[in-house]
Amino acid sequence: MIILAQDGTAIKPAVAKAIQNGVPVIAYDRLIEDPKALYITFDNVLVGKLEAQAVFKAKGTGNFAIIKGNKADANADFLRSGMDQVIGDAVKSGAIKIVGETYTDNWDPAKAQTNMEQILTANQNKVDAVLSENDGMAGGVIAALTAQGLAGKVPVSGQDGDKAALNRVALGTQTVDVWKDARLLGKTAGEAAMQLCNNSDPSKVKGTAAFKTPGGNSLSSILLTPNPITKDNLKDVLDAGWITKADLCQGVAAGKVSVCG
Amino acid sequence: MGATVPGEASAEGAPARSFLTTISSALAPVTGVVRSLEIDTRMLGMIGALIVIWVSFNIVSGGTFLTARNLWNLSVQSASIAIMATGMVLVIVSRNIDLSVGSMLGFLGYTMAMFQAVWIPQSLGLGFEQPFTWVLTLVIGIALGAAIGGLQGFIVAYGGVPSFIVTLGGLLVWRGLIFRYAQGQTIAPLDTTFQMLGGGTVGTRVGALGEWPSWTLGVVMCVAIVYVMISSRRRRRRYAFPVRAIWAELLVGAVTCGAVLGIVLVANSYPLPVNVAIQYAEEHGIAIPPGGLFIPTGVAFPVVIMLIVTLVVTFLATRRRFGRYVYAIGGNPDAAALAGINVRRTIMLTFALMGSLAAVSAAVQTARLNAAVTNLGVQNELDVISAAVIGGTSFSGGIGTVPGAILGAVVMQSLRSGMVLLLVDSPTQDIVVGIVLVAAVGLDAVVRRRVN
Amino acid sequence: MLIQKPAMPGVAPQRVPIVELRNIHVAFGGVRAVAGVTLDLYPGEVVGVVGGNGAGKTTLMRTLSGARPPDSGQIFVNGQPVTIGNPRDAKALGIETIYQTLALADNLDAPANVFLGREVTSAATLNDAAMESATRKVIGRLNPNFKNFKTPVLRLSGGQRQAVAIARAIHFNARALIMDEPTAALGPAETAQVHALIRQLKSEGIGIFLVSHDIHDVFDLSERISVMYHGKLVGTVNKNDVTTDEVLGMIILGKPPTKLTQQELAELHG
Repeated sequence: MIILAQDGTAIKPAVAKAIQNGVPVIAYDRLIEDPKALYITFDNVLVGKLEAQAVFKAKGTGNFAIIKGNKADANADFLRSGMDQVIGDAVKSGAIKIVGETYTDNWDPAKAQTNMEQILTANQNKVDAVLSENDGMAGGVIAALTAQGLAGKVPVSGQDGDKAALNRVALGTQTVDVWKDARLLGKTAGEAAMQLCNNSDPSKVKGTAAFKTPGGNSLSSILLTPNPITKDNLKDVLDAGWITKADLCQGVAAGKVSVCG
Repeated sequence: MGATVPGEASAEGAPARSFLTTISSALAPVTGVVRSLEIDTRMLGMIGALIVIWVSFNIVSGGTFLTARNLWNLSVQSASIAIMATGMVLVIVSRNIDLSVGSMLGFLGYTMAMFQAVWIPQSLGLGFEQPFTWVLTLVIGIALGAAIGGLQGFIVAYGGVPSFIVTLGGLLVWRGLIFRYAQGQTIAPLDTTFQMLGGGTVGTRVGALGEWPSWTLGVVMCVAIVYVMISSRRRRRRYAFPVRAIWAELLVGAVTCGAVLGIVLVANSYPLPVNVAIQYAEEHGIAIPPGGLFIPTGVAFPVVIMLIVTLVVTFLATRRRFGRYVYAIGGNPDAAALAGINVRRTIMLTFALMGSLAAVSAAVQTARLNAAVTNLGVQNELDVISAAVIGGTSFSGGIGTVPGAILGAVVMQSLRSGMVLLLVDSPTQDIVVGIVLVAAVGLDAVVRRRVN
Repeated sequence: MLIQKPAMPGVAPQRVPIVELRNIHVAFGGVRAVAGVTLDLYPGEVVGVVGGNGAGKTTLMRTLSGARPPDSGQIFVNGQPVTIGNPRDAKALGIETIYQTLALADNLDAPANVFLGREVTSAATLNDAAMESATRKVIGRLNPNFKNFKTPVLRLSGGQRQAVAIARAIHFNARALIMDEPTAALGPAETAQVHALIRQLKSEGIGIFLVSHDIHDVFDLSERISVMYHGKLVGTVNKNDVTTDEVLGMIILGKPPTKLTQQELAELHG
């Protein structure tokens, strides 16, 4: 059974029942807190790290805002811990000040936009960088920055390889879009499922490693490596056939970005 | 039948009663004034609560909350929920519920985004940024909203399926359809003129009226308020009905007009953000004065849209047969049917209206975000229903006002925005909003029992 | 008091009845609520419709008011066959009903209730002032002390609510009125008021079907009395030809007076 859980804790009883009945369970992209499930995802801690690295490279000091995802989704915290690996020291030394940090119900971009507006208001626009955990919310953040004439001046992160976000990377309003090729995720999950049919022990699936969950469980997992897309490697998504040139380059002025011509 | 049945007063505990007696005797002179003003005491209470919330946040936030900028933001942030809440009032008044508004909003927003970003420019080959794109998109969105809302209403009214079930189904169906045809992708960017509907900024174009049109709007509204007051007074005079005291008339007029002009003043006190202003000055060849450039933003378009919707729905609810029938059905469905009212058709129309308002809100939300996303409007139904209920709409039917719902939406958004300003995280926000919802309705029930 | 002498049963009517119900049948599921009832009503006449609980009198009246169209049977108004499919049809024919429940929208004020479904509009908007003015006139006739024209009828007394329901029925120039238990919820003073009103309406030539449990009310106000028993019409009698005991016999035993035995009559009286 391949499950994409909206809430990794709430689904536990159902998953436990499936496993008791001998049905192997794959937690697809979202964690399920059951030690017998096989967790296949892009390494979300790494995603958070890559997001923060790109923003940190653009802006190493100053006031940071952090727009996190849904509080019930473990990924929101994984991403946050990855970010901390990059900016943690600078925060401790005082070089970076976190002026706003908030969860966003349902990863809702509209709520992210409202939250960003309020953070900007509270700080009289003195926000130097925004770590947004995904592309949708980055869209909301950038809409709030645009209203203050700050879009493109404040680095913003995101992930998912959303086409609109890749277009924003080309336009220069979003700094990085950590791309997790969903096709790779699907392929890996499919292959793992085939192996589980022969042997239901998840730890015997090729390429697994032990994974410590926030709930204190240890389960087998396959963590895939994501690809951070910035203005410099937009070619990757074009070459992979993930996005058309028309979509990627819509509204981009000629000569600004090499792949758009 | 709930709060309005006098017999239920006995259920109330003795301490609450003596406490209320003390309050009501202390307020006796005030209630006398209120009576001669002939204004809704509940409305007055809500305005009082709002003032308390605003002043408290302003103190705690060190003066940030009551800045023009924050109030301007607040007005825009409230608009989308407020627009839908006006329709939800009528739905709930007629003893129904619409749980599908958030999903409808998502579906309609997505369709409108596809229409302007894919179908018109690419499928029809007409290209981006056509002057007619925004209005065509909006009209088609509203028509589609009325159609799908009307379809739900048809099933409720003619199929006899409870609205809770029909719209619960709608909540799943419309959201499912988005995922079906969006495949997780965001539709963006949108038409730049369409984006103005959301109050956002594109280059130096801002989705707001600007200084003088805002003042004009304020003055026109004031004149309209005074005209309505005078003509209704004249009419009552002509029929020799009692009219309210002239001082009360003047006071109500002055306060209402003052409020309208106050809103305009606040909106005009919010200048274009520095970066936008500088760019604007460059484009228009304006020299930047030493103290910096102050270009008033004016009333945001989402707020203008909200005002128009409020006027239209209030008109439908209070001045048209349709509204009278909605309230009659809510008060006593059998009596409405025996009076010869077409109950089914009326109920279907309330749902169609709700659908078209979901489309208007969808336009505002997508325009504001400059994108349509798959989780657009998720859980908005809860905010919309809460706004209507905090604003005094009763689930027992027949009771509720459109301006009350608008205030309800503003109260809720004030709480949320204020808490974000204070860096209160979303779980705590939910707790506070939940408590306020129950407290508002509970207090109202107690007060109503006293009145009856 | 009686201006026009109503037709006697069995005598060929010289005039056309306002309303005539012929062979009306109504069934709910398998239950026959009304089975083949024929009734008529002449101008300026009160016909009492009596019977025990579940006798079918309210159901019969609902076929005439349009609330529940009959399964079969014919309705004539002024001698013309008509179809009454809904309350609107009945009102258009000048047949108004005052329901036992009053059928008021409690959250609306008196003018809104009086004009419910027949609002006065000008320039496509409700003309509340005109409706209030008319309501003040018509209710003023019924109850001069009535003052609360702007409060929801929920907050009015039983008598005031009754006045609103009656005002709604008489304001639109009704030719026939159906009154279902009009005094059931009223005190003595208010009951007397309603009685006076019924006599006044009668004198204006309006025909009234008076549905009531109270045999004394019916004897007091009606010219003729129609008795129903288990969905069927036991008979229609002239008030002056029968005693209350005989009518009670019709109600309780379902037999016309001619078929009542002395013993049965004695028991009824006892």
